[in-house]
Amino acid sequence: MRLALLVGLCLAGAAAHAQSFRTYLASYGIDTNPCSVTAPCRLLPAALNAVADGGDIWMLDSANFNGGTVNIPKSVSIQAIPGQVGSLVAVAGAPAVSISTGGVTIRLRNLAFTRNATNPGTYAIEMTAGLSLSVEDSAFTNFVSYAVYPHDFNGRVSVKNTTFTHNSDYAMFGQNGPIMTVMGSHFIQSGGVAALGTASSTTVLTVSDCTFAGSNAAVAVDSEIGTATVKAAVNHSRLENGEYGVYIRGVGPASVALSDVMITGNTHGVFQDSGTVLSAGNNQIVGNGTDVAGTMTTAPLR
Amino acid sequence: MRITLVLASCLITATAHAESFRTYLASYGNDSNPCTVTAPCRLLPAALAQVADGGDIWMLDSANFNGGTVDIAKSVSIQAIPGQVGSLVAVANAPAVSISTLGVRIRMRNLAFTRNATNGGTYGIEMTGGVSLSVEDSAFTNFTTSAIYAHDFGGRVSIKDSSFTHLDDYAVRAENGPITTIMESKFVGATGGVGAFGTSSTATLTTLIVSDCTFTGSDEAIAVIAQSPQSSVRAFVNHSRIENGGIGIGTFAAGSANAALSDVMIAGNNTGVLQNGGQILSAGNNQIVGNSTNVSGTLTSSPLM
Repeated sequence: MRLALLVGLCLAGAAAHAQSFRTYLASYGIDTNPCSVTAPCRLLPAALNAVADGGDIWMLDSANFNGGTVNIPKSVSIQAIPGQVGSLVAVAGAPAVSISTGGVTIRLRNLAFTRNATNPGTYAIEMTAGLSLSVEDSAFTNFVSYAVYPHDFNGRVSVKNTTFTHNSDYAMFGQNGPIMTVMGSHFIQSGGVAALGTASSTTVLTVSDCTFAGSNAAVAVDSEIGTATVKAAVNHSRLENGEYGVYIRGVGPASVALSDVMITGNTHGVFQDSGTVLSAGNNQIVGNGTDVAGTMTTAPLR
Repeated sequence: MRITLVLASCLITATAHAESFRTYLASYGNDSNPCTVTAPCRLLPAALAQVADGGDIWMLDSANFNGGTVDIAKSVSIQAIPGQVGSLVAVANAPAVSISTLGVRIRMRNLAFTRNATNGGTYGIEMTGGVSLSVEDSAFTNFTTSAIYAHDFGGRVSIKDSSFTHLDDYAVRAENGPITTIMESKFVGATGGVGAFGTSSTATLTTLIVSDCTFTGSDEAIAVIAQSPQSSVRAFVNHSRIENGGIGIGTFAAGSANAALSDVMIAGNNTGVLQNGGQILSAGNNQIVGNSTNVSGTLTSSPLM
């Protein structure tokens, strides 16, 4: 009898641990549920435990879905249903989301990241390993350290149609290795995007169809040692009313290529300390305190 | 036992008055509630009183959330859940929202501002102090004075993905100091455009940037007006369309007024570009065609580089 009970418990345990292709979260969920659509869980770690590698997590209604840092150790696509707010908050001196597992591909869609004002956290997303992170249709608000911080790994980070508002440090800060693509996104009275090399590495940044309004530095490219390569390209974007539109410094190889970019109303439009600024000759750089400091090299369209 | 009870009631009192990081509004809320998600409040002033500085306010469903002018005196992010209409109405000859507190950073997302037709108010938002206001994904309709009026302070106003429809005066009027950025927004149907003004008798610099916007039928889509000799006003317009109105872009200068245009289509207006004092810089890549008068005054070349 006692043995039968134990076996029963074990089976129940096994059933609870079977992983689903898709798991669900809701404001009315409970983490002891199986995270199914009819019995959703409440917080993201429970849904991550219950989802299969490569699976989906849906946030069914508007709520906050984390208690502290959520480590995402498997490939997964996490989205709040459009029309709902899937909130993740950085709290207690730590990031909202941490990604540090090699090989993972993670997609985040329609999420709203912010920082708890009464018990502040650090980053929205800190990523130190993985193949690829795609952030789509999301919002990052009120961070005082970087909103998205990929560093010291060679994977890819893509950000699409996302709004960064009132973040006081760089909204996105990539260091030592990541390949970053930022598309169709807005940076509003918010730090901009930085690519930084402080170790032997190649860091890549591409910005297209973005608007930066009031960034300390909208696009910053900085190779701090001779073995760090940092490459950036900016296309069809607007860099306005900040301190630096484009800032570049290269102890090692550093370059930024500009095409169809409006740089205006900044204290410094293009500031070339060292490194190379390549201009396609089709940029509007006007009305800055200093439009161009240093040298721009022509790289004609062809 | 008595001590336990007293302690418990102290804790309850403390909880009731502690400011929350996030507070909630709903059509079914009540302002005597703690503004939590399970017990939301009804009107914005209650949610503002309960939220911590730098916190969040969510409007959970579609309703009007103000009774009169709401003064926003702390940093806060206010949003209606997408798919819901978070309405704020200007009533009784006053603005819907007033911002005058130094240092605040305020974000508004997915809100719908209008003017009570039976008891008309003034502005959607009047701002005279603060570090930054960001208006995102919002709508402004049927105002007879400016929908957003930012004046006499040096902060920043950013407007993204918003619609301004059927307004009689300038949709956005920035005067004496603010730096205003307008992105991906639409000014639709016999509506005012954007006015950057310098009227102060002390030196002020007012800056306006417009990118990826469309103006249809504005009396003056973009007006750059330095009325006082001490004032400087400048505007930069990029990748936008200005159509079928009175004046597309105009500069008027007793002081210093400058506008710079790149990749702008100006078509079907009475006057496309009106340079009446000040300077209008063209990057040479603008389509100014099909206006009754395409260019009145002088366009100065400012080549791309």
